[in-house]
Amino acid sequence: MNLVEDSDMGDAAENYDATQSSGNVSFNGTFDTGNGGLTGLVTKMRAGTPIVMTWILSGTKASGSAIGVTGTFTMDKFTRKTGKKDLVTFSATGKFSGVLVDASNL
Amino acid sequence: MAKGKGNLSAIYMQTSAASVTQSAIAMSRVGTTMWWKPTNPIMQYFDKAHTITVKDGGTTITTVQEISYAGGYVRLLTVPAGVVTVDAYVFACSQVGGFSAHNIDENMTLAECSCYEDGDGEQYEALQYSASGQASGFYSTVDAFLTMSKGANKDLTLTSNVLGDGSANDGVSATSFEIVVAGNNTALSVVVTVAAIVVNSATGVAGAATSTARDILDALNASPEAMALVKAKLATGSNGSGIPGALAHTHLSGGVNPAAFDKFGQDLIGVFYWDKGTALARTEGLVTFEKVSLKGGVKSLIEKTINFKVQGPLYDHSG
Repeated sequence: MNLVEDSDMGDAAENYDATQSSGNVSFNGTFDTGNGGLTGLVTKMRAGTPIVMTWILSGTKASGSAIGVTGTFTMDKFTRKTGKKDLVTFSATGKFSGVLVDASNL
Repeated sequence: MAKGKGNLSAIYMQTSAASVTQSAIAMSRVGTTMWWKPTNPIMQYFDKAHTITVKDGGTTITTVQEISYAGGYVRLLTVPAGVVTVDAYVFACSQVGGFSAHNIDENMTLAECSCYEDGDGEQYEALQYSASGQASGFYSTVDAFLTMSKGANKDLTLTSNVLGDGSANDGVSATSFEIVVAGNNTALSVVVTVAAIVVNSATGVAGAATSTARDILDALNASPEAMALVKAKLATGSNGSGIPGALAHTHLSGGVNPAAFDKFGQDLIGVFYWDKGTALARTEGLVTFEKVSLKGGVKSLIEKTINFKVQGPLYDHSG
């Protein structure tokens, strides 16, 4: 959360307004070519398409009990690396647009 | 999840002086995806400077989503009713090598577009895509070669040491190889006349060949004249214990036309494989090598680590 000072002359103490929130997301691990989620990340990044993300913190998805957080991010980097004797690894990052929202019944 | 294991990459370059117009290039659908690619692989390098026209049963399709010039792929929005064909300008191309390791960085520049004190989270929009990478362990595939086919454990592979041999510049090397079986109780010998390598196989009392592939390999390696022309090794899967016998006079072939190497600095097709064993996947695009001196020719790059930039988009394909 970015804070902007809005104190006036003569105030006894500094005042701050909360303005825009910001957030980043990152992923890394072994790249599985058969994992549609991973290939989807790079496809969305190339297209510049925002990605809706849902974190389920408790409960089971689509059961009526799931509670979590939702948000939207846009990928800005996707790196893959491999060698003749190496696993294929990847790392990816993105930035959130808008606020993260607590949600239930996910 | 199955273990991922890296595979190699392949680099192709233009070998024709200019692209040539091709009409009604037959296209095949890639699995159940919305991508179509040329049925004939020699049509895989589209010239991006010319318009590509995609047709469905002879009628031009206006709903083409993307064109991958490096692989000759087109992506459609809807499944066509008829046969897909393409009118395009096409470069001839040949593989010149590849790398034993690579990494690719793909980036999307994001611009913050939120308003001051709008009370919401920061907003970003995607602006421009770019990609670059680094690859190491360059290997060359530009040389003419010959793999014998005499049978199990009888075969050698000879690879030309000379880039640019062959008066016709057609990839057929001036270097030739022959195994002669003649006479009785003769000794193994190697005779080189200009670019012709002749191996005289040892023979027995009845005139049958007695030199094994391993014997011939050792004899070639002991001949400075032969080694100036070729590198020799046992063919893949051969232990050299078999006796190949006679081999007719055969020129090495499959080399890249040396006249084409003045285009090596231009857009190259990069094919980078990501392999998890059960589902081979690759990323393709046009790449340009950075900070590479081509004065020594493509072979001077062997084993080098090279940085490259991607021209335009990259595309992932499976299979």
